[in-house]
Amino acid sequence: MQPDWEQEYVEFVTAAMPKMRRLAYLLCGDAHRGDDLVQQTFTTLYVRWPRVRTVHHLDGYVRTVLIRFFQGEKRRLWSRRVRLTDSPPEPLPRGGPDVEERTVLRAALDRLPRRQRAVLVLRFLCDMSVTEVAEALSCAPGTVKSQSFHGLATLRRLLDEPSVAALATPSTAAAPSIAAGLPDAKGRS
Amino acid sequence: MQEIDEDGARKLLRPLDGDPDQPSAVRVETLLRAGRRRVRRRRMLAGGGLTAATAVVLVAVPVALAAVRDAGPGQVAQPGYPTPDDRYATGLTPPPVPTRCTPYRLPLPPGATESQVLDGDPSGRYLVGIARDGRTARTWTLRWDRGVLSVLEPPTTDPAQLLVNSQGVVAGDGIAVRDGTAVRVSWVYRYGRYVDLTDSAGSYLGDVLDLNEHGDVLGGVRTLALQGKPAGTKGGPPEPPGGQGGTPGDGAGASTPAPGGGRSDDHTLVPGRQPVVWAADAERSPTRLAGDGSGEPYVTGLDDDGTMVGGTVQFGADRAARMTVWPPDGKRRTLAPPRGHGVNPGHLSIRHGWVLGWSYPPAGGEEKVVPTRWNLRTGEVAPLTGLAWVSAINRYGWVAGFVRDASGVETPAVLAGERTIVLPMPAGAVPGKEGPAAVSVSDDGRVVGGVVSVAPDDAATAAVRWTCE
Repeated sequence: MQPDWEQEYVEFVTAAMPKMRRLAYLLCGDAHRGDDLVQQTFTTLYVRWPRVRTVHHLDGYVRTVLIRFFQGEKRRLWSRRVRLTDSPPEPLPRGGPDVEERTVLRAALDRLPRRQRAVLVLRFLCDMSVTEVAEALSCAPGTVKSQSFHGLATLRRLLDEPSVAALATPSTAAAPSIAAGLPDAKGRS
Repeated sequence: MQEIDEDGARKLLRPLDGDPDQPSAVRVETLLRAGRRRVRRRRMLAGGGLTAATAVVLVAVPVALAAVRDAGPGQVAQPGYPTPDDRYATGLTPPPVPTRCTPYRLPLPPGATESQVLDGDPSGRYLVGIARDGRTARTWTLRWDRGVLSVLEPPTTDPAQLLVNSQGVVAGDGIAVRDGTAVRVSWVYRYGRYVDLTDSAGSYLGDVLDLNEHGDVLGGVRTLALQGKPAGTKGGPPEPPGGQGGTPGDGAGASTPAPGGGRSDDHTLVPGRQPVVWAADAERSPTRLAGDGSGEPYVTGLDDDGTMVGGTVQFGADRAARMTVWPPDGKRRTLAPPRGHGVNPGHLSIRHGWVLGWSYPPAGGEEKVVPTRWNLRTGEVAPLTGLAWVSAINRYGWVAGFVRDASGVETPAVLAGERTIVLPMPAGAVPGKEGPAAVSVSDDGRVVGGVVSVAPDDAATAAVRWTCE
């Protein structure tokens, strides 16, 4: 790559990094996996830089690439699954009820299909419009609306489930059905 | 379609809003290095593209034919499949160390573009794995009997875990739809039928973790316990007996928030995996490991005699982590790491008294964790320096895993006795840094199951068996 293009790339990446890290973190619910996603996205961007550096609205392009990698992440994890060993359980962040509420909500969100998860995060945490989300996910606005509706309905139903609610009060859980989907140290679930 | 209450949705999700709570692990210099490397690799592949494509076609034809042929009736075993050597199914004398291993791509269902072996049985007769059509995302659950493919149809999709024993019993878990809701289900396949693994009320009890030769299945109920000392000023969870957190569901030792009191900030949520075991033919009557107040158990392995291995972790003021063995007599004991090494109570597996796990190397080492092997009969423990990563252990302490060269390329390998056997790649394989591994080695050492990369950047992997002699 030409040195001046590489300098452009470095400047763009440096500026876009915080925003992309936040998006990846919200999608994955895990800083490490989020950073993997960001690294994958920006490495791909490097390869494509000579072609895309002049793209209009480059931010949006990179966001779309990241979301596509997120949606395809399962496949990459799948191909790595043989080597997964459980890491020693890491302590979750210290904290009180707020941490527990986040843990429960995250566990429920992680049970949604990836596209629904992406729709909810983009619409209601990143404040993107239906049209913008549709563009980012390469689907029709109607699909975004229906995915939003079904995703929220499922999320609310899961949050009412005793198995998910048990995460909030694990020490008192007499029922054995602690929810699956509790993210463990390497994101295997 | 009903209208969505957008404000309500934002309010619902707001607790998740925020930036990562850790500094970025992404470095611009790393991105530049990775990007330059990938550009170089693409140029190199573009230069040798014709040769590579030809090689793939030549390999693909016999594999595709094999898939059709093997699925038909009348095949007893894949041609060339070794006959298991029963002498090594019992006893303590290990088989001779193989001098030559030959790779074979395992047959797949038509349409599968990616595949991998997830487990192999101790006799070497069975391998299990999954395949996927990368274009449609369709997946298959597979069992190979002496190399002959059969497609399983478990009650779940895309099993996260798949295990097989020498009787051909398969255990797994995944997502199933029950009463219109997607739920996690663990199951076992024996006598030609699938049975859910539940408690007596029919409730799901956690992930499948191990399967022994008797057909007993080890499961792990994911738990999340509060541990730590109360701050003293805000109330908070009272310290359980002995100052240690309990296991939800076991009654004794559970740390219960003070009635009416707020929780202290000085506590930690500790994930664990409370073990449950479904004995063969007792799919609704699991037994649980009784909590003994020694911290949160994180069990992962089950031997044929019922011995379990895993970790015990507690946080808070009495922070401690141990690698733990639970023998059938219930007398829990701690596994010490090799001298100078640190405790890593991560994934431990066990076979006939050999335990495979990890430890932290002495300060200053390059590796973050070191594969480690214990012999419960002799008490010996040693770091395994011959392999970079380990997946499974056999009756004689032979270990499947991979080696890694200086450039980061990983190659499936077996540690047989004291000798590391680097396994040859089948035609069509490409060097990989995230995919290749041996995942099983039979007791007689003659059959190894594993995975190789078949596309750049490990974008696709293929299920492979090696025959060793």
